[in-house]
Amino acid sequence: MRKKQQIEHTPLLVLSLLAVEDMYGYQMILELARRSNRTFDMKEGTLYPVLHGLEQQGYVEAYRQEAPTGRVRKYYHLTKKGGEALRTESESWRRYSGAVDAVLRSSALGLA
Amino acid sequence: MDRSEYCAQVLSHLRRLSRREREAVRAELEEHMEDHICALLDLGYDAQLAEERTMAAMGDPAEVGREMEKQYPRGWNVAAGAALILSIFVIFSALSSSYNRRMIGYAWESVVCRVSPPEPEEIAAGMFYRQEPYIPVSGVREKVDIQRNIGNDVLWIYRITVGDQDGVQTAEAAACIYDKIPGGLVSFPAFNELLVESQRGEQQVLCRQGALANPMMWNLLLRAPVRPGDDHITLRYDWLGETVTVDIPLPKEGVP
Repeated sequence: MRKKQQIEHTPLLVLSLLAVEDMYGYQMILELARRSNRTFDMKEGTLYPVLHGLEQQGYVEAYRQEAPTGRVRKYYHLTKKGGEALRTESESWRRYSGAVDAVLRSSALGLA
Repeated sequence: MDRSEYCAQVLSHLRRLSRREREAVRAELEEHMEDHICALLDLGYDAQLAEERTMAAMGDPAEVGREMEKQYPRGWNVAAGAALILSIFVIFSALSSSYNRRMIGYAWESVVCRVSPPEPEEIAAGMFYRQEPYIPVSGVREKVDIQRNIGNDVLWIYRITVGDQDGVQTAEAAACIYDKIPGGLVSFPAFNELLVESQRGEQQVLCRQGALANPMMWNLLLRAPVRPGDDHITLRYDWLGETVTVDIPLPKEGVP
């Protein structure tokens, strides 16, 4: 059986967003929906426990800064530790999804 | 449900968080909802509908609150609480004994003495053991900085005054003795004789304050008669079988 993934999917996606640029919560929700073609249309309030959990683990750090809207927002920044976790978990996720895909493809061939 | 009710419901689940952390969560959620509502208003929604849609998009506040609570480990709160209770207990125990209260006061005085030593008048005002009333020396006063190690103690002479004292030209130096370690007891024997001598050999046993009052710090007034032309007075004491001599220079203006 595959070793349990250390980081759940939503935190992994959040780390992935922050690898590109620092963002605040609402911005992440919009960006996640846009990049996933609205597949990851999560309840927005549930993002914050994820962010605070990542902050507690030292994967991200927060600071306040004025957003392009002119309103001051709490931005999150990927730390070095968070970057390393993202690399490890991304690789693990690719292996896992590749394996699932391979099984699904072989089943599809059998059905054909 | 409006924004503040939503936040209140989330916060009602956050028992492990400090007040500051709770307020930070509230601010962040309110800011998020403000962004969402503004975006909907820009799309032409009316204010009430925009708020309703935003609340629906945020999800169940109880679930958000419970999940948020899980992110803050209980251990810190328990450890902080235990440390606080222990600190209160230790402080209370220390203060509940008059002996401990006195010792804390002594230690505090011995620390303050190193930073802001008392002037001669303050030393005299604190004296409870002296044979004659204190008459201040009125004249020229100057800072000096003479330090001598006496075993684990430090003798620090920090002030010299020269002038008239009840019709006699007198030099008076203010000094203190304290342990090298703040809070340590003075080990210089209280029965050791300390003599102050003029340049003509006139001797005077000095006044000391604190030898009995504070075992962690003694204040001393070193006094000797002077005449025009004198440039120092001398402190003498015995230590480990030898006589130690410390010359204390008088102010540059000399004896008036």
